Amino acid sequence: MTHLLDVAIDIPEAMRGYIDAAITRVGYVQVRWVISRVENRIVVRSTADASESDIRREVLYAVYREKILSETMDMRRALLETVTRR
Amino acid sequence: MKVWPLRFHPIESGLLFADDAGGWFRSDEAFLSRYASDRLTDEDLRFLKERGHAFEREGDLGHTAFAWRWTARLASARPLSYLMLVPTLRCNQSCDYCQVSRAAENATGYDWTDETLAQVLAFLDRLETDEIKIEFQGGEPTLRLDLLKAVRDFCRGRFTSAQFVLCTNLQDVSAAVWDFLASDDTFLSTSIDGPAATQTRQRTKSSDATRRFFENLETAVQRLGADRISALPTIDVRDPPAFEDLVSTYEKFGIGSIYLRPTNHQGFARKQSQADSGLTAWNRYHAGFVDYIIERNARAGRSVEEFYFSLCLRRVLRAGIDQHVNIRNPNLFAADYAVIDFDGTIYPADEARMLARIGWVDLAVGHVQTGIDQEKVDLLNGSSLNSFDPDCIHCAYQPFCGTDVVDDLSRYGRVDLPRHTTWFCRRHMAVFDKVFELIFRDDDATRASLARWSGIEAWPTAMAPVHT
Repeated sequence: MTHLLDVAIDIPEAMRGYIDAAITRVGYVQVRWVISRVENRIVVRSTADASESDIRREVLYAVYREKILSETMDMRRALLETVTRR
Repeated sequence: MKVWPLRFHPIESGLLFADDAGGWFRSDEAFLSRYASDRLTDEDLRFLKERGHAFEREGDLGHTAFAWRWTARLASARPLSYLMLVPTLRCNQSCDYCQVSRAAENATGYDWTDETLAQVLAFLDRLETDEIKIEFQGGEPTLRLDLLKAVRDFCRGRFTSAQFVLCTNLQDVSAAVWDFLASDDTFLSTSIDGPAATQTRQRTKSSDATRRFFENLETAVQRLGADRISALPTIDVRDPPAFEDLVSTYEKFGIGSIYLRPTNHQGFARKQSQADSGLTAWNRYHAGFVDYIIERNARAGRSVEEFYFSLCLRRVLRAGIDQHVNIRNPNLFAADYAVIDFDGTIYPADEARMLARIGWVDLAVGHVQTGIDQEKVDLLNGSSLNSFDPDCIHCAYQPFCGTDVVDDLSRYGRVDLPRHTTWFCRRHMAVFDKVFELIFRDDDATRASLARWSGIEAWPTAMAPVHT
């Protein structure tokens, strides 16, 4: 019998704008997880060997990374413009 | 104050944080939570500013310095100045893992013709560089010593500085070959897979041939000196030599830099089992070897290094370590390095030559007669940068890492797989995990080896910044 683990992770308000991007990212990296959004939570159903704490950490890391990527994109663009400017 | 984007990665002792310019430090989940939630404290900001991860306004010293460091991390295009030449594909040996898909010693049609030699020399003459490094490969290049001499004589007259490496199996070394090796501008490279039993099993197939090899190697050390000799082992991770057997074999010939390479899956080695599952075993073997030589260096009072680990360590510590064609970013094709095959075809790397030999994919980028096909090179170069890859952009190791389009094509037939699933990524994640494990390890033996491998006198605490 396959062991199933359901984990629901509450996402802090300041990061809720990145839930969808994080779900896309986690789904791409953790192909054996079933991931969905339920209001302001990310819900993971895993048949793999990951523990609840592992799943929680991976999801939050993905949210953090999408937030950091989005909010610093302008800095990266400006850096490129700086170093490629003639 | 603005903080440059920080990527993060769990390491054994906490969380590693790294910026796009390769600046890094260790911290913890609490810092990550503050950073991700825009709740950095004054102490956090002070630390970040002091360490070059933040600036006040665009154009200030912190901003400009970061821009410089970011640029320095990129491998710059240099003129073509390092060429691997394959004057013959014929070989007098039959190594199991031979990635060159050799031709028999008495085969015909696998050597440069007179016309090919003339075209190679004309190609060399058209190069923009004043300095050249030529690596003679094969097959067994000493089977065509005449061609090697012709190239060397030409290069000595044409370039301000010329260096030559003869890659040979040291089986049948004539007086003429020893004469060729006598010059100070000529170096020797060979393969030592381990002690005699390993060498016999994997390469020579006879104990007599192995004995001849080690006798010739001993002669080479006496004639050339250990400084002009390099050697590499190819390791079958299913049956590897014991660490001490391998190290002591190399030390016996005065060689203290050992570049562990797994059996390559191209050429004849492709016929053997080379599943990705072998990578786990390889990573374990490599990490174990590094730990072993740290302990041994401390015990024996001598320094041995694993070449690729030292290379990756130096890439972490500073920019500009871009000379190795297997790890740099961008990894531009046919820029400073190219391979010229027995038929005059130009390839961007030896692995690309092998893929063509086995009919997998044609990655030829030109011919000595017609020059380099820049359109094809530009097409390949489109995948040579990791800086904005959608996976690598999240990775703390991205500034230190690189790309290997040829390896991806060889293994998977495509270059757009999720990075974390590729052999290249998984291999380098393991290497950089080991680098940072050792950087933050707090013992004298590790610090002593890290210092030697980094080329510094001693390893100060400041080399392992921590923010709590």
